[in-house]
Amino acid sequence: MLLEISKENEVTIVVIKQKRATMEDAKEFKEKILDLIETGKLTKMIIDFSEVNFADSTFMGALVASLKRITSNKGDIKVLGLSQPIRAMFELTRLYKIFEIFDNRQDAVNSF
Amino acid sequence: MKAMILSAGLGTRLMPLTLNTPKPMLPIANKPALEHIVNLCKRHNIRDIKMNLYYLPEKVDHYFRDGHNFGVNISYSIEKTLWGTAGAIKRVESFFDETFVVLMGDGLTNIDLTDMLEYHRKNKSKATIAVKFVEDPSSYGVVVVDDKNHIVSFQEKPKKEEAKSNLVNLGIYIIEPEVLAMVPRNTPYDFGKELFPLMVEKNEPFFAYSTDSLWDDIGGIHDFWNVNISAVSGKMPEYFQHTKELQQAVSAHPSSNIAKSTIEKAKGPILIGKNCIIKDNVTLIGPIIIGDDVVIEKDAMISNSIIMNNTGVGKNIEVNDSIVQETYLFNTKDDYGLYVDDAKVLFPVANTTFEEKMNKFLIRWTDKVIAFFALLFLFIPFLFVAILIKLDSKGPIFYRSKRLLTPPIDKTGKKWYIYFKEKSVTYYVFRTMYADADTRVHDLKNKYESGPFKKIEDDPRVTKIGKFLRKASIDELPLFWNILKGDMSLVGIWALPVYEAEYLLNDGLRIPGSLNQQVKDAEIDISELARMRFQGKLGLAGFWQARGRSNLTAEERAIHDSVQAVMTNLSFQKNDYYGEYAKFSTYGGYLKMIFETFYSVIRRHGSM
Repeated sequence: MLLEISKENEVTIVVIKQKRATMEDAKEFKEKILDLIETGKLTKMIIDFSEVNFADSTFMGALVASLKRITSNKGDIKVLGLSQPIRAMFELTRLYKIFEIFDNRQDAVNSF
Repeated sequence: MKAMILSAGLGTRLMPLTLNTPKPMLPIANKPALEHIVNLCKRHNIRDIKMNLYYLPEKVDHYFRDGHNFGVNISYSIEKTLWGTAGAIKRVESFFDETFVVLMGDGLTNIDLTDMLEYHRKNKSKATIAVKFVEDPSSYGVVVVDDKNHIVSFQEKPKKEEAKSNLVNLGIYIIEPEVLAMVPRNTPYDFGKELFPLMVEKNEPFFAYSTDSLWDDIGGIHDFWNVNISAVSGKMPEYFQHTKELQQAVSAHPSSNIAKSTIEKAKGPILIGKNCIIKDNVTLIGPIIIGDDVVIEKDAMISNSIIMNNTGVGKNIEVNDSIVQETYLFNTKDDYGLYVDDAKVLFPVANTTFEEKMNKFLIRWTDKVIAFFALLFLFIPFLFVAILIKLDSKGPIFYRSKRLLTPPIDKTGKKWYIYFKEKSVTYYVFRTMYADADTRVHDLKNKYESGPFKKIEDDPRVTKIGKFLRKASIDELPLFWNILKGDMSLVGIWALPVYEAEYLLNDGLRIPGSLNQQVKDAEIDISELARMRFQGKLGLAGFWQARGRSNLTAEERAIHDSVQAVMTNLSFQKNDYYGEYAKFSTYGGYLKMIFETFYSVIRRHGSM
């Protein structure tokens, strides 16, 4: 799973550098993110989907598992740059009620 | 100039119309209120629009998408929690890098925004509020101005005799981006109650723009009614733009097919939308608005009513003085009732394409054929299993389990009554527990952590042979009988036993922030997500059965279910919206799901 990780004002930004985020990568993604949260004691994270045009339900499960972990540090994960099919999924399944969604990176960073 | 259209309202006062439709998507003369606002923006050359959404955001997003078809660029700010009017803009501050107008998504107006902008610029105003003169301002926000129209104070719903002015705030503002610096970050904030009084206090250049243009909103059911009826009565000629006048004051979209005998005796004003079929000898007495895709059968009678999209009125049925709600979008079968004014029974008519019908037909018959051969093939093995169960413990061979798909929704009100029938099915599965298991489930609840989607480890109620049957996934094989009967499909959502379904409905599903038990408030509420499963169709094989069975956590199962439920309900034509998942509701997707699940069961991956 190709991820690009950077920091901006104590906010960790994880960019998914793949077109598809699915079952095949979900486990690895989850482990990487959980490890990041654990070792860095992170509380502020943005996951950037700008380059992704399909994410499946297993991947969403991994995302929720990550949120679960960061919540135990009293932190939050926000999502950025959802393309239309992914946005549709967040809307339809009510995932938007647990993840705050942004279009603009600066707005997302400012929201913490 | 850019625009912010505030569209996040819940529309509670418009229930039940807003049960499946967000308030800004409610029609005014057959077009969503929001579309009239988008058109207004376009007419005044405003091309970049942001909308904030909260309640049923997919309905707005799906309709407008990126705005391309409406000649504008639309982007959305989907809110996790409501941020208030000014807070909603602050949240997406980066978008507003130039002068912008703020409009209400549920308002109806033909205000001259170009003129208002000119006025705003001429006064070098930082914020301009559109105001209108009314005789009785007691139910509005009153704006008090000096002789140069500079705003000096506000009054919220003053008594008529105490009102210092007759100018009321229309909720239409033109604002300079630097004003946003006054809005605090990450907290709900309101224009009327917080930002504007602050601007007055700081003596900022802040003006009122007086207009006598049309202005209405659809706050409650009566407003919704009045706005629609006045629209169809000819006050806004642009509403009849794409229609053809069939008879005096009777207009219809050219794609609708209306029988001659019906047109001849129709009494206007009547407005009919796209793709409607109105058969012979229907009595129509206006004012009436009929939406798109409506089918009205012979000899029906309609008077003084609004019939919303995709509904049907059956033969000989009368609809008077009613608002008939849009079809429950996800299901157009006749297995639930929609009752308006009690005595008038209406049923929705599926307006499906040939492809969709074909798809459904293929799936239904594949289900039946596979189920038939499966039962035939399994007959002898079933006999052995039956004998083993009988020998192992006392009790019947089969266990009858009532499963709930859709809970009943019961809403009663003064003028309306809606009732979605409960959809449940009785499953016959091989008994894997001792005969008294059901009565012991409550004792177990205290002993083990329980809730929806939680299997009890080493359940003491399971018999010896039961354990084997469960592990080998044999216990559920008699469900092929339900599939043959048409109660369920091979592919669909696993039906929850009634107690689990009720648990999910009443208590919801909350997941604690893991590991750290000390963090008490660390809890993620996924109730709404988990309840989406009730929109799906019932089936044997689904996402989570094919992806690891009971190894999954409660939330992983909930996500699989909710994604599957919403994706199977997708309409065929609109599929590009959902990316790869769109194929899921097709016959190909159905076959793929069967193979994946079959493969998974063969590997016995994580069963039990």
